[in-house]
Amino acid sequence: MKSRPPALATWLFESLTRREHREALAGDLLEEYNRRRSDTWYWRQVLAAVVANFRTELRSRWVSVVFALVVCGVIPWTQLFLNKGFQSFLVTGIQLKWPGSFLVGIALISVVQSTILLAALIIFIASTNGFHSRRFWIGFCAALFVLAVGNTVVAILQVLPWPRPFFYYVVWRLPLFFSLIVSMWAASGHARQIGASHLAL
Amino acid sequence: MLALLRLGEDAYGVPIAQEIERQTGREVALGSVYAALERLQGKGLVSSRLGEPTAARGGKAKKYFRLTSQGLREVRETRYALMNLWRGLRELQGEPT
Repeated sequence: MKSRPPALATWLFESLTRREHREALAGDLLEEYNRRRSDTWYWRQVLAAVVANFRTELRSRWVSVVFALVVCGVIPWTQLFLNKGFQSFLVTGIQLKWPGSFLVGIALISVVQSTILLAALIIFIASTNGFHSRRFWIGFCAALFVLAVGNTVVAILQVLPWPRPFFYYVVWRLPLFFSLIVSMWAASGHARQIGASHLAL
Repeated sequence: MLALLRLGEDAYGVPIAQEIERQTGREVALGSVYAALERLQGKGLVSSRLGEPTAARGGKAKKYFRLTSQGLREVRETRYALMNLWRGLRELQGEPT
């Protein structure tokens, strides 16, 4: 028998795929890996499984996707983050050298967005029957991580010559969108329980 | 669905992916195979049963898939529709060049 497949890939697979076919698929991956495949093959298969799983989730949890789109669409981002007070505080209010000022700026934006995220998450959970307390907190922590990483990436991407409307209306909202999706999926019950009939918005 | 028909009783993830690869010449991700099978199962075209766990698979059971009678009917109807579409296309007659 060959050595074990990459542990990180296996952990990602087990964390990011649904229980339904997970055991059978994990067995298939191991069988093929032991037969003739490489670590690269295993990683490719895990990533493909995660992407396929995400697409299935999107299809079965379309209500939460629409909800996240609405939340990200209605928030007055420009007024919140481009107002003079907030901008001058970011530029002159943080008495730290780079990269400290950069990181604190991202943290501030993430805190404001995480408040919006928490409010939206509570509204979503109150409107559905799928609340699970432990998963709620796991989902919220995972969402904060996604938000912080996403805002860092967006802040770095800001230097690229994006068309301004595209940056403000699409790129800027992506971290909150994905973190909302992560938190809603984690906090709610099984995917198939969350349908249009359960959402009383 | 055609791969399931070809494999019969031995249709689980690995041979299904291999059969598709053999017939199409393209590598298929096992995760995509399961995602497609899950959709077909949701539509009632495919059913599944768990096999025995084996040591070679880290103690994990195989999941065998087969077409339901509704799935078989769907395949027949699709075949009939495709044959009708192909029939009479003069440009496609003869050997491939």
